[in-house]
Amino acid sequence: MTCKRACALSSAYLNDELSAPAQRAVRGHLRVCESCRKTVEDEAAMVAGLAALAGSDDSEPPPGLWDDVAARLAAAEIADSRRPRWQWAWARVRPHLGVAGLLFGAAVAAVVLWGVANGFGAGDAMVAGNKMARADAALAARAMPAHSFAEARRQDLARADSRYRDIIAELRVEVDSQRPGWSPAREKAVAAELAAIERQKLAAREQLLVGGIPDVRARDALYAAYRAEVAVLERAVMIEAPRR
Amino acid sequence: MSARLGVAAAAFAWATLAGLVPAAADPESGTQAPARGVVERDVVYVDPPPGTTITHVIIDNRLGNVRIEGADQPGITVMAKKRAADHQTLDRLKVTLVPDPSGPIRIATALLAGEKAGPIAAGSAGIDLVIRAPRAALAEATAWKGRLTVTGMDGGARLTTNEGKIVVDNVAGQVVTYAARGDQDIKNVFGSLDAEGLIGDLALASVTGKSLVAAVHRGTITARDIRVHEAELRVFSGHIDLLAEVVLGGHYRVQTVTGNIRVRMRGHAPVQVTAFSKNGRVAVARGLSPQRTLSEAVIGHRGPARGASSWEVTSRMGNIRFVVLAE
Repeated sequence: MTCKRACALSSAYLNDELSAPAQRAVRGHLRVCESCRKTVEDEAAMVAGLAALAGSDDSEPPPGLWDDVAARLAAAEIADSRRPRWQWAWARVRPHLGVAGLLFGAAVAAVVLWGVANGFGAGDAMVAGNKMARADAALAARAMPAHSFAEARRQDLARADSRYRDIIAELRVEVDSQRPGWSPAREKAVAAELAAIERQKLAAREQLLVGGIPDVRARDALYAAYRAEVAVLERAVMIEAPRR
Repeated sequence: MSARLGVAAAAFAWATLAGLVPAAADPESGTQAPARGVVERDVVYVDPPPGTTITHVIIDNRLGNVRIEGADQPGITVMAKKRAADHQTLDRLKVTLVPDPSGPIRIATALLAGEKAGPIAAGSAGIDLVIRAPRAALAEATAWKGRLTVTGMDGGARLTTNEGKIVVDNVAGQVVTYAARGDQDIKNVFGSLDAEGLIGDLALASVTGKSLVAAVHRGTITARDIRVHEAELRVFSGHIDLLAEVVLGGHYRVQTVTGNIRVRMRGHAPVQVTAFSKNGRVAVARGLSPQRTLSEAVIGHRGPARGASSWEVTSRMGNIRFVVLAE
């Protein structure tokens, strides 16, 4: 008989619901195991107390008890209504603060006082705060996993989409800056290629499921068009060597 | 037509059913450890339909990695490793195989929607495929977030991944790869190669064929032992390091916007080089003569102009260095 088994059988033991051999085995364990004996004694005391409570005749509260409780509640509510706002805030925070919280508060106060004494400017504090906030956000973003397969897929697709779009936007800015130096023939050729790709993108977008289950296959045609666009734009932004 | 569909449907059903039955007990699988997850490995060999040859293997696995190995066998061996958090999810992972008597064979994976199943934890379910295919077949594979590997194929390869590494080794025929985000390691290619990507490094070694296109938007291209007639290497933001053998009458264009370029050249064929950097320095080896500048471009040549291979090396912001290696 193990302690785990004995504890599991304790209720049945106290209620005489065990078979004779099991009863003997539990009793034998309790004779040698002090912790289990204590546990079963506590349970026995509780069972006895409940039995006593169930059997007592004075379970009815004394007359006037509820009136007294109601009067005290009313007085407490009136007192609450007169408390200033900071007391409400403190009352909300206080249960969550232990000794560690008090020490942390003291440390923060000490840092603030030290900062003021050493000319720690408000701008610096803001910059430091912003940096910390950014670091916290980065950590949170890294630590927060996508909670489901479908959600992860949505995030992956969003990342992939934005990767293509960002690079295309970057290249288009470059192309626009280069365009004034192009010959009319080159400009016409690049415009024609981009127009064809735009038509491909439009056709591909019509095939996409909007708001449905994220399907990566549905994006194949769109991504193929994005790739073609990247290639055309990249070739366009590369400079050519002067000709003889 | 109906016979053809019948063969395909039968093979499809057989392969699907076979995929559900584990080929062998796996020490990693078990019902008692949902925290570690369960793993199932299935192995299926599929003969080509009678009187036909498998000419094209098309794999679409958006749930994990794909490895294709060329083998001296008429049929195709599919090894699938499924992993999931529990057996219910594992049962929803399916591999389907549809052979077509006209030559292609399609292998696809899917996570079926469960009627009563709850959401699946991200990253907890997936399928990795290892395919042994007839060496002469064309290998085509698409992955979403996984590694693609092809080795020992003679019919060429087309590989596309959104996020993951691409590895190609010892492949003959036309090879086309695209990794939106991921490095590419491609070596021993005997045929034309088109390797492109958005973000990631491109490492090429020993490419012999008609043409080479290598392009990444952000990353580095390192190419050595390149022997092709036409080459276009292009990086928007990143460096290019090329070691190539000059081929008679070849055309080569190497371009960056912000990165440096180093071209090392081997071989005795005559060459004509135009190197131009708008905002960087250009250094062309003394082995090319006479050198002169034309509108800031450095022009150099070796041997007669007729039949010479032409090189155009340009960068807007980076430096260019052109070296002729002694034999």
